[in-house]
Amino acid sequence: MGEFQELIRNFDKIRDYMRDFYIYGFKSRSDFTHKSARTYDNEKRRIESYIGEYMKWEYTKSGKNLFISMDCSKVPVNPLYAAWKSKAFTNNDIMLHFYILDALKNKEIFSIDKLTDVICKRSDQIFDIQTVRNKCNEYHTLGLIAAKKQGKSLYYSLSPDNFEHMLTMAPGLSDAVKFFQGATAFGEIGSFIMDNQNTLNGLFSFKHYYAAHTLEDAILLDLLSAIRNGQAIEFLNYNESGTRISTLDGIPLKIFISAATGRRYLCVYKTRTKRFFNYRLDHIKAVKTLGFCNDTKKHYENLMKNLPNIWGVGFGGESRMEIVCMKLSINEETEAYILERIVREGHDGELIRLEPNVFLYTKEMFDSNDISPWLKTFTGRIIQLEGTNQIVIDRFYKDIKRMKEMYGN
Amino acid sequence: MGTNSDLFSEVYGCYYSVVAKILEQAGDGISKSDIEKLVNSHAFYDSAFHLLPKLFSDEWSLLKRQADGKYYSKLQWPDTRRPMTGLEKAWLKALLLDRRILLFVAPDELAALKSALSDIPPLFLTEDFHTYDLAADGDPYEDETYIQNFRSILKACVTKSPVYIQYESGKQRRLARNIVPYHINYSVRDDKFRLLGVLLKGDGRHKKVTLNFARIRSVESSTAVLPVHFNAEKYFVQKTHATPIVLEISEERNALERFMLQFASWEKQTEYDEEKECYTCRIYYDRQDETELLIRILSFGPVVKVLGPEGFLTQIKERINRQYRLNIGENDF
Repeated sequence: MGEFQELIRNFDKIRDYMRDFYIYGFKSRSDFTHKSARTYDNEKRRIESYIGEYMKWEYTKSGKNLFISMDCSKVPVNPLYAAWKSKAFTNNDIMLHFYILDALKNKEIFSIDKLTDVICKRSDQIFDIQTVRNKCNEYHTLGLIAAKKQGKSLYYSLSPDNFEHMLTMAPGLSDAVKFFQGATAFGEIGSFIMDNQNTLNGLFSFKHYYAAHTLEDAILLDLLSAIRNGQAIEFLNYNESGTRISTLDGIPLKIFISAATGRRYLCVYKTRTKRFFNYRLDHIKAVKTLGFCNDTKKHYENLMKNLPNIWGVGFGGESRMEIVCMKLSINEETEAYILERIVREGHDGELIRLEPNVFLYTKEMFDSNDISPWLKTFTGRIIQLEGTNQIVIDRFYKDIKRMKEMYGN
Repeated sequence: MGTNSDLFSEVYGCYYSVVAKILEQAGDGISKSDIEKLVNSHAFYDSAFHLLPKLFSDEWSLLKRQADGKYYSKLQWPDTRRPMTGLEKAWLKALLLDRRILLFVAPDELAALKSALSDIPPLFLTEDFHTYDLAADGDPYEDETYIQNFRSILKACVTKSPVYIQYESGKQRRLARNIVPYHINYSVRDDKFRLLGVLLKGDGRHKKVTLNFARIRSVESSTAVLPVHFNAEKYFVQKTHATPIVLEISEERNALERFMLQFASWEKQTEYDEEKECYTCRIYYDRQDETELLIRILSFGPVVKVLGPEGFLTQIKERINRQYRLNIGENDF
């Protein structure tokens, strides 16, 4: 039985456990049945170490529950970024990292022989040329060092692209990184830059921020690469309950995001059924590209044409367009903010004043199931709800009746 | 089939970062206890057990202990910062194409940055994403006055010095106040910046304020004098409502999964109630988010039930009763 290691080689495992601890937070040790108890203990110990103060626990009837809890509006940098900073390495890795970068500082240019000599001398260690060459190749691929052929030999130098140089061109870039690490995709990369610059975010806080998105970013990177290159993909996808995994395919076109619910989806065109479909990003386990697809542009343009008719992620069933009409009671003098909210959130639906303090909101879309949660946010002021999808309308009225019964008077 | 490994590299790792900090300070010698302090404050909670023995035993051969008992870096140069990786450059390039970048850099600076990264493809483009419920009235990031106001406040946030702000209230009234900026808050959903600050009143009192940047008309430096022992932070550290909202979540309509994800950004506790066969969740919240929470909870319909606190429950009941009254006689009511 090996000694416990704080760092890890495989990101997927920590991704799943971190997500369970953060999103669900009510599972006890016995609920993690898909892996051994020892695996649970190790992952729990690691996450406790990475997340620190945000890891909480409580005793319940089913045992001790561990969970990650934080008010994201008070957190300057997403604590879950720590998962990306936990990769294991060897002694040679860390020594070569610091000694290669040190040797190449001050615009030095070395052949591999000379570089190896310098490193061995400074470190009092013996490295063979091939080991140093492998690390140099790796760092060349990463973009940390440049390699230039002179005669028959390759000469290595430090990449001139450093953040300090960028700051001389635009000093405000430092604050921009502090902001964007919490406000755009792949925020962990901003956090890497901040770590390297030894800077902290004391300026910005973030609302409606979904910390768990970072855990899907390796998948997102693959998907964006496929989108950019117009490639069809095959991907492993979990079902809603996480009990079944299946292999699916399609042409990836866009990432759909809900800023209100935190869900992210991959929008693909399914060539066999000739339909667009959205898959939850957090249910995708792995991605493989299948090669360039000639029709990508055509499908993308078709999707863009259809976007105004999609409320959320549903592309609808057989009957193409559905209509929802909601008559609302709004006091014009004291509740103008409600009208503003409808304009702000109503996806360009039509808003008409029928009479003083009575308004009619109308919206056409592919799938009116998607609009249901939003309609319910107006509970208490909906005079009448009508629509072409009677199931959606009936469910609304039944829900109000159930809620009335549920809460009594 | 696998996943991209570019993001998961030890180069970005916590251990490399903290060792870099130690080496930077070890140029003139650093004590063992100072090394321990750096590891405890900058690495993971348990890292000291794993990292320190490697450093002190010379297994990594990065430090040498000298007669004075201190540890000295074996590197020639004290600056351990690395160049940017290709991934970092591609991310920065993506930022340069985001319209919010002009809040931070001037157009000529932006042109210089774009030129420096001209051969780097952006990691992503705005059009790769479709945020389908983004607010339609996001802030005017291209507006010159907005940009100037933003920069003035950003500067004041750094120095924590008061500024004189003229702004338009929600009722279209023009107001002018001396405010000490504390933080700039950004809402991804609303696509809006808000200033969190402390309002300095003429009578010497002060209070916490939140201002929408889009309503700010001008920002000037202020001659207001900060009270002795003024501490803006105290207004923002303890703001969570002590009494949580308590809810029951059923398993119907995948409510649990939807709810947990939607409310993940709030501080909360959840457990399964075997007797009732449902989940109980407590959400700790800021009072100013109460209405937002109320309508978000209502959006779940009957699959989420509010149990308390009393005031919050009363508001829920009022809205449902009002809705019920509005619909009596319709659709089987």
